[in-house]
Amino acid sequence: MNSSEADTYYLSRQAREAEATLEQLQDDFPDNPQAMQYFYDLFHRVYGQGEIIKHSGKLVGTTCIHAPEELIYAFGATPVRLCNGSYHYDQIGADFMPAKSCSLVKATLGSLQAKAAVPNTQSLDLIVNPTTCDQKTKASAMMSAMGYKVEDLELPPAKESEEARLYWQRSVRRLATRLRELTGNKLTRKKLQHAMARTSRAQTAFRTLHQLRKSAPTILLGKDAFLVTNAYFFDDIERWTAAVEQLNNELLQRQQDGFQAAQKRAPRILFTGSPPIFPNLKLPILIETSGGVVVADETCSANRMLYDMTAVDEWRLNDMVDSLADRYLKPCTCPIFTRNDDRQRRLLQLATDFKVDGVVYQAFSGCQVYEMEYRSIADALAERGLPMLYVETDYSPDDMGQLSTRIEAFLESIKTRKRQAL
Amino acid sequence: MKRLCTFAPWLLAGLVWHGSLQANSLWWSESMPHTESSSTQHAHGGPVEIRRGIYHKNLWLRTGDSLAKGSYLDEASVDTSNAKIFLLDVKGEIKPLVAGKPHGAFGVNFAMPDEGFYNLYLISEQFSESTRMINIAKAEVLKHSCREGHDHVQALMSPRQHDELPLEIIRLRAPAENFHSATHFGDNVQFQLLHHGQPLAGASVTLYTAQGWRNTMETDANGKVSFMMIRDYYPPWSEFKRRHRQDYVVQAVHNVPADEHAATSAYQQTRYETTLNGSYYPSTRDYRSYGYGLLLGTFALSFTAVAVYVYRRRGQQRFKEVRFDEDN
Amino acid sequence: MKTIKTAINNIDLRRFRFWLQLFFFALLMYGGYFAIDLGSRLPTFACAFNEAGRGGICYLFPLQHQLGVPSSRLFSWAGLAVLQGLLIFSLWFFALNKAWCGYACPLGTIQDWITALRNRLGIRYSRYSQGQFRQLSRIKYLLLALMILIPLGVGAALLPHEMGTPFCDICPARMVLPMFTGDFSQLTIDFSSKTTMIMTTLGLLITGLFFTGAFFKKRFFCFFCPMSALHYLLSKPALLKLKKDGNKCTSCGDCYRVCDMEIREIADEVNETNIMQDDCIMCLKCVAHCPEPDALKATFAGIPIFSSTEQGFIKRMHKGQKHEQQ
Repeated sequence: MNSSEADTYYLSRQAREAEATLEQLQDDFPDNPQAMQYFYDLFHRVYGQGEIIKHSGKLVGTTCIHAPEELIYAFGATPVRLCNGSYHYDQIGADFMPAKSCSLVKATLGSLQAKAAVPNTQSLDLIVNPTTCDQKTKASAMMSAMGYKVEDLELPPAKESEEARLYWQRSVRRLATRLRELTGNKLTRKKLQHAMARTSRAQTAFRTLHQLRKSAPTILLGKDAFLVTNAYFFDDIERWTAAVEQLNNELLQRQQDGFQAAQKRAPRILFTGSPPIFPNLKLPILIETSGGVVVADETCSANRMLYDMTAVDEWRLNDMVDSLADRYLKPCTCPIFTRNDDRQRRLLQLATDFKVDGVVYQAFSGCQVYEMEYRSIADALAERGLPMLYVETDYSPDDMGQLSTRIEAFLESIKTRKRQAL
Repeated sequence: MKRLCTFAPWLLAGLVWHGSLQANSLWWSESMPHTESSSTQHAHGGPVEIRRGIYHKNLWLRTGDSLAKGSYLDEASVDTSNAKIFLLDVKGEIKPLVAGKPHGAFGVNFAMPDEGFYNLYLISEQFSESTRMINIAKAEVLKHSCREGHDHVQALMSPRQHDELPLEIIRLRAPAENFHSATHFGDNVQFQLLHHGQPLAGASVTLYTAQGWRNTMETDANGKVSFMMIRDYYPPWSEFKRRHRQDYVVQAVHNVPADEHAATSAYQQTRYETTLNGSYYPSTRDYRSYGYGLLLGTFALSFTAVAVYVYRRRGQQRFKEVRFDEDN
Repeated sequence: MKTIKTAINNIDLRRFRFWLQLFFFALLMYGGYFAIDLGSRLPTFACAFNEAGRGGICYLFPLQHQLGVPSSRLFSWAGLAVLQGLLIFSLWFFALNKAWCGYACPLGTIQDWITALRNRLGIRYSRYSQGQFRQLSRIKYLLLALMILIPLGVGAALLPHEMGTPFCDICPARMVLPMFTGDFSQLTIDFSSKTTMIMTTLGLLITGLFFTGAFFKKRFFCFFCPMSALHYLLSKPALLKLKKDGNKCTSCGDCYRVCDMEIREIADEVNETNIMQDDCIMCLKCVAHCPEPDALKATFAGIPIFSSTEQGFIKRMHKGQKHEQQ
């Protein structure tokens, strides 16, 4: 098989996976919002047909939400999130990764290994790899070996201490230096302000969407919400913001019209844990086809990525860069840190705000941090009287049957409780 | 009497020439006869004694031809048998006072229950061969306690005069003067000379300071005269006291031929002499320096600024580095 | 009612604060020209040495005078005067709690103006490290203790009379505030005695330090102010409070980021509801920059008057960006 055929072959397998998921998303559910069509089309074009994503300036790949994207934009480069959700690339990655590693990292490395990957981002000029979990940290060397230029963004393992905070600020400043070398541009106040303004608008749009999901009865299904946030990984930020704002308007209208996206008694689920990345929206889709609705989430492919906002006191470069650094470290609820008090608090608050009935906790097998942590979360939730379903899974579709049984059982138990409570 | 007659020609000569303090000049003083730690407290009007919450003022009568050498009155040396002492209080009432011997010297002690200025007068009449000599010693005392508040101050500021007096010196108030004001070195103090309540022009008025300096001026058409209080306090610096109080006396003499107010024709002329005493203090310019102040301030400012700049330029660590003790 | 609440929560705090500070500055610095006298028990600097224009007097001045009376009198009826003064001071203080510092104090306002100047010049500010913060934070209690003990010592005839108002001697407000009514006489060194020489020298050195410190560090002096320490000791019953709902906090640290006094507890404390610390000047910038709804709020007698809202946060951040872009 020559390379072009090989490419076509891979492309077609990857495309089939994506298309299958998109079909599920669109057809298995009635009454999708019209504004979602933009997103369905986007994924169809990029994932199904391998459309090249245009970008301006240098292309900087990021492997984690900790990489400050405003900084990348300010240098005239474009960030693209490389975290991959495709089983196809997972299998490619499995060739050189240990058997027990996390599917996400395998898939990401697999996609990097396969040169003509999808989403087709062309060649990456730099990969910014925050040293978060073990596997991402070790992946750095592997990515260099594949021929990519990798910048390790040193993240402290704890975020409470002053040293950690200052360490992270220094890391971000060093990244700025690296980006300057890469792009040849100087960081100016106006450019950073402009970048922060754009990201701020995107975050604002997301917040509105987030708040709209509080509605009871639900007006938007979780599968769509995940698709929207997944689009943020690679889509042009201004186009994305405009599309989300349009979606928000439509949802507002739906709210006024009293539209119900799910059954009235559908159990409201809070989804947390390892991030569902397109096309691996397996669990959210399962939950919603089984009659539940994911009203809120606490994952790094959605909420955690876009929720927190930066506050700046003095609009001077030094203050702005440090403020950015703080925003990317302090509120982050990623379990790679030593303590997870913030995460517990966040989950409990989300549960309260969104009137959640149960929590589904997804952990990819091999993800040590989530696997070690879920018990403390379960305990905290149990104190509140919230049931939690812990699901250990990976990208392969083999466990769909088992999962759907468990999820259906979980949702049933919630429904029973609600009926009994009434 | 006989002694005075012997000196009469000298007296006359002195009188005609200018009214200087003489051996029998009288003035009030608030300085203690001998320094002793006593119940005297400092208040806004000078030293006072406070008994049961009421301010009392001690004033001693002094006599002599110079302030510095003016002796405290010994009852025997000057005839004060026909001296009248009365107090013009804040309300304008006149009360006679009886002299006593507060702290061992001839003087008066009176209570000052109200806020404001009290005028104390002593009038003494003597006769030489052909001259009737009338001495009027005046003291103007302020009673003020900050506890009484400050709303009434402006109404009580103006000096009061006693129109029956043949000669009186009034200290005119400076603009914006209040109860907290005091006379300092370098201040211009204005006085007015009154003759039976009317301004007396063309008379000669002399200011005497405690160290013996004096200055004589003539009153203008309105009877006013202005003196600058000189600085004559030059202690060694370590002994400098910024609240050092010194006496001054303003004296005026006016001769009137006998036929004006003659009661009898036993004398040819009447010589009126009046004194007004006061206190003055060092001015802030004596001990306060702008130059040093600004020097120190700008030094501190620039030193700190340079220090911060250097610290920031060198990119110092912001947190304390962990260092190990090598001794073990 | 809801629209009023929304309007308040969305205000441009920077502008509101600028005008309110200006109002208090004019009132306290020039009120005397308009026969305004708010008394001599004010819980904010309003320097007594600004004789021409003062609209009131800072409580620390009469407090030192009162404590400096001879001990025999102090421990009898004069002590009642001290208590009465403290009572009136407390009543003034309870109304606004430490917002007196953030909105009324003329010296604080001057420091904010110096900060604005520095910002305009494009010079970045300095921050304290945690260790420095902890050590330096104690100085104000030391100054408060000295401010009380030294006049007592004067009253007991242990210390010279010229030290009767020790804090007024070193306070930069004594030098700086009268300048605004044309009185530069406080910038002198008083050579009349050794004590006055030392005290006035200290005072001028501190004033020089004050200007530079306030230039590089936001609200530099407030860190060391004994009035602030006194406030904090009495702050429990005050009506205006700063409250936090720890459950809603995402510990994003935005509040700590914008705090002039660099108080960490606002961001880190998630259990306590009353989070006003001893350094706080209640400028309410933290509330204005908190993106989580109702995580931080200022309450008056229990009623929330200014809460953090998403909308308010977004509005202010956009404003900040726009303002600077122009």
